[in-house]
Amino acid sequence: MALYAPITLDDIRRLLPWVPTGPILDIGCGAAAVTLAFAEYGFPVTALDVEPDTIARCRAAYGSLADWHCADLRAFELAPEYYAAIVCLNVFPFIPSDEHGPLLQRLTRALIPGGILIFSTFSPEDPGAAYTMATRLGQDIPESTGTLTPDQLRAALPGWESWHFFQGLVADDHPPHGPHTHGLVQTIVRKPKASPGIVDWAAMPHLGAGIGWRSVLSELLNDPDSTDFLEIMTDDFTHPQYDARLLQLAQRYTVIPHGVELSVGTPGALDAAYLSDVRRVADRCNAPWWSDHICYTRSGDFKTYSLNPLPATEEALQVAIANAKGAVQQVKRPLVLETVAYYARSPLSEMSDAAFTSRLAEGANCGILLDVANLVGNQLNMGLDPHAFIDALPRERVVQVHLAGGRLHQGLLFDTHDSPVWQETWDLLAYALKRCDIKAISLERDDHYDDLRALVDEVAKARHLIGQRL
Amino acid sequence: MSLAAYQDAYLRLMLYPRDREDWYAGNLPLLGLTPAEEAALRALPRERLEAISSSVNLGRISVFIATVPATLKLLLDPEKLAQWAEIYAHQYPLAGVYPRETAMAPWLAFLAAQIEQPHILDVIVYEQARLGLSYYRKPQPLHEGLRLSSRATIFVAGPHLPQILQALWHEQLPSLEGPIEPRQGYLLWQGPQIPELMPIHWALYWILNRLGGLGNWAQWLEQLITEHPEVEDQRATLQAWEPWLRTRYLLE
Ligand SMILES: [Fe+2]
Ligand SMILES: [Fe+2]
Repeated sequence: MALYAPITLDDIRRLLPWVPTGPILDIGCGAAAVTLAFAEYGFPVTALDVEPDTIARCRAAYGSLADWHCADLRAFELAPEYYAAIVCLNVFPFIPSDEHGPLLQRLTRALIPGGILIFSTFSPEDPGAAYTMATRLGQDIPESTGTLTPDQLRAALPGWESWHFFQGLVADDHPPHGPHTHGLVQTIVRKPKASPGIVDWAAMPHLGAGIGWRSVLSELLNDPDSTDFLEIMTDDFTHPQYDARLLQLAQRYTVIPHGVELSVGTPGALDAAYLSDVRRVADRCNAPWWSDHICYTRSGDFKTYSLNPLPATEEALQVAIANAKGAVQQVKRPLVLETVAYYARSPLSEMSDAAFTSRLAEGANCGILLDVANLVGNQLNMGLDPHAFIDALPRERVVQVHLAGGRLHQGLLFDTHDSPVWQETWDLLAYALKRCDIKAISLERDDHYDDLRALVDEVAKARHLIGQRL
Repeated sequence: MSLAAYQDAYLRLMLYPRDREDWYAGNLPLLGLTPAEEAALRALPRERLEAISSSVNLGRISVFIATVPATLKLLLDPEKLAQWAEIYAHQYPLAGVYPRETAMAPWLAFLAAQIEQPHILDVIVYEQARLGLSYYRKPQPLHEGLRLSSRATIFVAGPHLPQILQALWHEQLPSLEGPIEPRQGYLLWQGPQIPELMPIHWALYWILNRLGGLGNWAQWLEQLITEHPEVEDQRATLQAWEPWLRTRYLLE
C-alpha cells in the first residue's frame, strides 16, 4: 500500500504547473499562504474567509495580489465550470456534516473540466468530532464538528483522477489547545475532461497574424501591436520549470503550442509521457488547438530532429490516423497537422500528398497547418505543384498557415526559418487565403534576428493580407 | 508490416550516406522489406541523400551545442565543442536532448570523457546533478522510509566549485587553477527559480548517501557512529540536520 503524508504548502507549490490556466478559489484563506503561492506564481485568485479581521489583515498586507472576500462559503455564489483550481483546507469542520454532500457538489461543479480540487477536512476519527464547532448558516445553533468519511469523499468525486489521498491522524499545535491531533481526510484530484468529439473547424476563432515566440524576441512584446498571437515550440516548455513564464505569456496572448516530437507516422506506441507534458503545456496555453507535423522524427534506432516525410501509402496513412486519434485522446484538445518539406519523395507513394493529407485530416478529425514556404521548397526541390496541392485540400480544415524563409544548401531549398519570406511564398499565401478558411498565420524565425523591425513588418503584411480576406 | 523497418533503413541511409554501399550489401536483405520497399531505398540518389544528411546533421549538431549549459559553454572552446557535438551526433544516432532531465545526461557524460581539467569536470558533475532535479511535480506516494526529496541531490567535487560557479553565473571566466583536493561533498537543491549549493561535512554526506526510502535518520546515525567512532562527539549536530532538512522539505 502506498503511504502518503498530509498535504503541505510545498506540495501545493510544486503542483502549480499542473493547474490549468484560469481563476483560483481559496476557501478559508486564513493567513493567505496558499493564496500567495498561487498569486505569486501568476494566477488570479479569489480568497474567501468568514472572519472579517482575517480578510481586513490580508487586504492591508497583500492588497491587489488577490480578490479578497469576507463570506461564508455556503452563501458565496459559485459560477459553474469557472475555477481552474479550488483549495478548501479544513473549512468543512465548521459546517454541519449533513450540509457536506450538497456543498461538495457545488465545489465540483464550479471547477472547469481538467480543474484541480485540493481538499482537506476532519474525518470521524478526529478527537474533536464530538465537540461543537459547526453552525448552521443563518442560525446561531452550535452543532458538533462537521466530519466526512473517506468513502463519502471518494463517492463525491466519481471518475476523478486522484493524485493524492490521505487519511490518518496528524499532530497539530496552536492555542488554545496546545499540542493535539486531528483526524484528517484529504485529496488532490483532477476533474475529468472529455476528449474533443467532432471538431467544428469552421467555428474556430480567428487569431490573425502572429509570430513564433523565441526568447530573443521578448522585446517585441513591449509593443502590443507587433503580434496578434504567439506560437511556441511545445518542446521548449515541456519542463515544468518554464511553466510560470508560459503562464505570463498565456495571460497576454492566445498561445498555440507547436511541437516536433509527436512523430505521428512512427508505427507502434505513442510516447505517453511526452503527450502528458504536451497536455500540460496546451492546458497552460488554453489553446484552441495544438499542432505537430505529418512526418516521422524517430524510428527504432534513430532520432533525427528532422521532419522526415512519410511515404504516401495506405499503410502509413492508417498508422498516422491511429496515432493522431490517440494523441488527441491524450492531449484532449483538437490537433492540427502541418505539411512538411520534401527533399526526397518515396517511390512507394500510392496517392498524392494532398490526398494523403486530406484523408489523414478527415480520418483523424484533425485540422491542417499549411506551411506555404514548404510548398515553395517542394516545388523547387521536387517539382511538386503547390497550387494543385492547395486546391485538393478540404478548405474548412486548413485553419493555419506558416510563413518562413528558407536557405539553399547544395542545390536544395531547406526549411531553415532564418531569412525573410520569399515573394513566391507571399504569393502562395494570397492564393491559399482565397481558397481556404484560414484563421491564423504565423511567421517562423529561428535564426538571424538582427532586424526585428523587418520581422514585425512581415507580421503586419500577413495581417494585412488576412484582413482583406476576413 | 514493414513500414517500421523501411523508416529505420531510410533514416540510417540519410544519416550515414557514405556507408551505404556496404550497408546495402550486408543488411538490406535481412530487414524483411517488401521488394518494392527495398527497390525504393536502392533508388535513393546518393547526392540527394548526402545533401539531406548534411543539413539534418547540421541541425542535430546545433541542437546539441545549443543545449549545453551556459556555465560549460563559457569554459569550453567553441570550436572544440562543435567538433565534439559532431562526433557525438555521429556516434549516437538515438541521442536527443528532450526530455532534458534524462536525455542530457549521456551528452554531458560524453563531454566529460573528452575533458581533462578537473575544475571543468567538477562543473559537469554539478550540471549533471542539477539537470536531474525537478522542483515541480505532481504529488507522489511516499516510500516507507526516509529519502532525499526529488528536488535535492548530493555529489562530490573539488573544493573550489562554489567560486568557479559564482564566476560563471556572473558570466565571468573563473580561474581554473588551485588545489583540487581534498574532494568535498555537496548538497544541491532546486528552488522554484535558482538551485542552491552547499558544501557538507563528510559525515552528513555519509548519512544522506544511505537514505534511499529505507530506514530512518536515527538508525543511519547510529551505524555511522559504530563505523566511525571519531564522530561520536558530533552526534547532536548530526541529529539537528534532520529537522533542518525537513523544514526545507528536502526529505520525504
Ligand atoms: Fe513546423
Ligand atoms: Fe512550418
